[in-house]
Amino acid sequence: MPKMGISVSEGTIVEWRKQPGDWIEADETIADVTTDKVDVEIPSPASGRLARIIAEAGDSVPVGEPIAEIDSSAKPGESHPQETPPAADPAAESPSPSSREDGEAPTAEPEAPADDNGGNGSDRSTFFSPVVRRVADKHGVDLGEVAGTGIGGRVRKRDVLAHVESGGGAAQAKPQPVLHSESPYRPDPPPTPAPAPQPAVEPAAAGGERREPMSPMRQTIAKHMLASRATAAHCTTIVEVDMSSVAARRAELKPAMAKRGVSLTYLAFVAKATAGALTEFPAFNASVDGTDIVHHDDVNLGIAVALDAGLIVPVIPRAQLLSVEGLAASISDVASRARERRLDPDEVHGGTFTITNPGQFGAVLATPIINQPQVAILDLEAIVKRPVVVSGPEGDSIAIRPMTYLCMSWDHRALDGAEAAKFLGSVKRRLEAGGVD
Amino acid sequence: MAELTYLEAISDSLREEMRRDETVLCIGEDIGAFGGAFKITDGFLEEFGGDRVVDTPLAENAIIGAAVGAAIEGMKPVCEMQFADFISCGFDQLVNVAGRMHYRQGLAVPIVVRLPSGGGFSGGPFHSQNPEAWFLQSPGLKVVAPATAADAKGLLTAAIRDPNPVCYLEHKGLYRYIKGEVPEGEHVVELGKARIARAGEEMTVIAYGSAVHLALDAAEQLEEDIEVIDLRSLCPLDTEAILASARKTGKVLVAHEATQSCGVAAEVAALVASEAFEDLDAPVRRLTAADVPIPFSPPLEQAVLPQLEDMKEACRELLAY
Repeated sequence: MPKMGISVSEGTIVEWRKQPGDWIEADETIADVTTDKVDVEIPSPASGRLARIIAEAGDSVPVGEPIAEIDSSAKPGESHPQETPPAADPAAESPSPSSREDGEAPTAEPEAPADDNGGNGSDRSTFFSPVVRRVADKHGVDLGEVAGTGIGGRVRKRDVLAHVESGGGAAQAKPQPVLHSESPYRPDPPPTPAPAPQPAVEPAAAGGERREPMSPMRQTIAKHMLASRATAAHCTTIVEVDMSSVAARRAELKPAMAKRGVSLTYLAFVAKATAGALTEFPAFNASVDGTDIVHHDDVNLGIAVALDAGLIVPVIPRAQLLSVEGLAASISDVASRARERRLDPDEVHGGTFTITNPGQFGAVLATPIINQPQVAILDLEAIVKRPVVVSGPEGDSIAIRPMTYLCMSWDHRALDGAEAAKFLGSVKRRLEAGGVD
Repeated sequence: MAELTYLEAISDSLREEMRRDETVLCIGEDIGAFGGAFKITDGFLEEFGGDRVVDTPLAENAIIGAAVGAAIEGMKPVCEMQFADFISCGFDQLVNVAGRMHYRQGLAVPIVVRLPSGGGFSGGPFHSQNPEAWFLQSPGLKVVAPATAADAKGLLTAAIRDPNPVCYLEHKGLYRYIKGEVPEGEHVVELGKARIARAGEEMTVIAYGSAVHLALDAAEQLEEDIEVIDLRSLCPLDTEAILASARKTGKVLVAHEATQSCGVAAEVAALVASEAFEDLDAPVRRLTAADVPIPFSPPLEQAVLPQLEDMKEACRELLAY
């Protein structure tokens, strides 16, 4: 009985226009109904064969109750619903005009109503729902032994429970430790008597391992390094630098600096040369922001400082304005405060270029990871004396010189190899000229 | 016990509360001389007089605003929105003024806003909506939606007595369609308590309002062991009853006539997924209206609103899973 208005709760059948066995088209009138307000013709909701009349003329039927059944899988022209459908005959009449039950009607396949949502009828026998896994764990059931009755052979909760009831579980044999975490909504489980089996197993399996959580700093480094690798197109260019001139200048300036309590390192000279080169090649004093390249007026030089367990990069602002002595003093200051963990948060932000200097341990080459969003990082490794060919007025000769490699990783998104080589060439030239201007 | 329609049960509760407590009053459009668009307050003007059965202009914000003021002065107003759809005109007074009053000023606002809601009768987009989810996102309001005549009375009585603003969603399709035994005299149904409308073991349908009847009819016709939970109260939500049933059956369908996105079903599904995950044997499913305005055309409206066949199909799918 269809709804015939908001305040109508029931209708009375006046007359059936169709009889059982009749073919009906969708929207064709099948019966006349009267209510306390109006008389209406009831249209058929679907095409098909009128299979059964439930409410006879004169019956009052509440809205929503069935008054008849329509077999929407029937085809027009068949005289009896019991007739065998000519399923395999391709020359048979075209199927009935589309009905609301289209999805189920025309084919003779067994019903699999949930296929659309359940997984296209594929094999689901190896998928186990949370409750199935939990029940199986609790009772020590091998789920491979349970026959599934759900979609695609999926093992349902009731399947695993039936398996347990029929004695399939190994619950009595081995009480398993609870593996899942308990929800706060759950009552507390009864206290487990003895966690005996566990300690024996775990260290043995571990084989002398020790596991500890990463420190927050370690996690931050891990995150930043991975992100940089994923972001920048890393490329590393290396130049060899003769540090003889720097060594000479350093020897000259060192005593005066020492009196002021500052140790004059090779790093200060490299920083000075780098700041100069950055002014000459501003493309390296930049950062990438989306598809923009942001050029920075000041050289804010990051200096990577190794800590006991990690690394931090304090920034020397406006490094292009500092002399080599000034840079030495600044580096010494931030490095010592970094090791004492006394840096202000502001001092580790805003770098535009980074220098890293792990060379004191003897390594000669490295391919550093760029400190995002900068476009390059310069690596200073050990300075070692090597025999090199030097050209003089008397021709070439072999000399012993303090040599080092400057390894610079740069972002191929923002820069190209020729620029990197030119930049490093500038640093090299400055250092080989004494590194103070 | 008397057999009343859902509509008569609402009238019954209102009349009894007005007789019992002289601070209870009704306010709304055409509720006095005309007796209300759906005749809920038929005869009220004669019995209680114009001071307690107040006809207003077509101004929902004025209705709710006046009720808030009266409530602060000690009255218990019951506002009638002629159709729930029109509540949008009174939204600020309800959500920001009534709903926040206790938080901001420590004042109780014991008002009830009656919201005749729901479609299924070609009412079109302005007379068919189910706006309950709007209020669930607005802390400070309680929201109830009865499905039976007994609950229509019991929840309205509880709503009138509650010190908070309560949105009372009465489904227009149930007004004369649903009849049932209703306790005579005082009948209170505690807010925040769901009801097991039908016990079962194989799956759970969690519903409220008109969808409860779809679920019950589907369970009967399918002859399957389906549990039907009638939420009755949407805020506060009876999480205990929801989770108990979800854990028992492991398969949950949440159904309502309101649109789907960010609706009650979404909230219930999230609760079940979060707190009953290890007891689930199937994905939590939803059966709701499509996320579209309610069409005027009867076939289109049927396509948009969940029908009995849709409910049966959804149940069959979960049962087979």
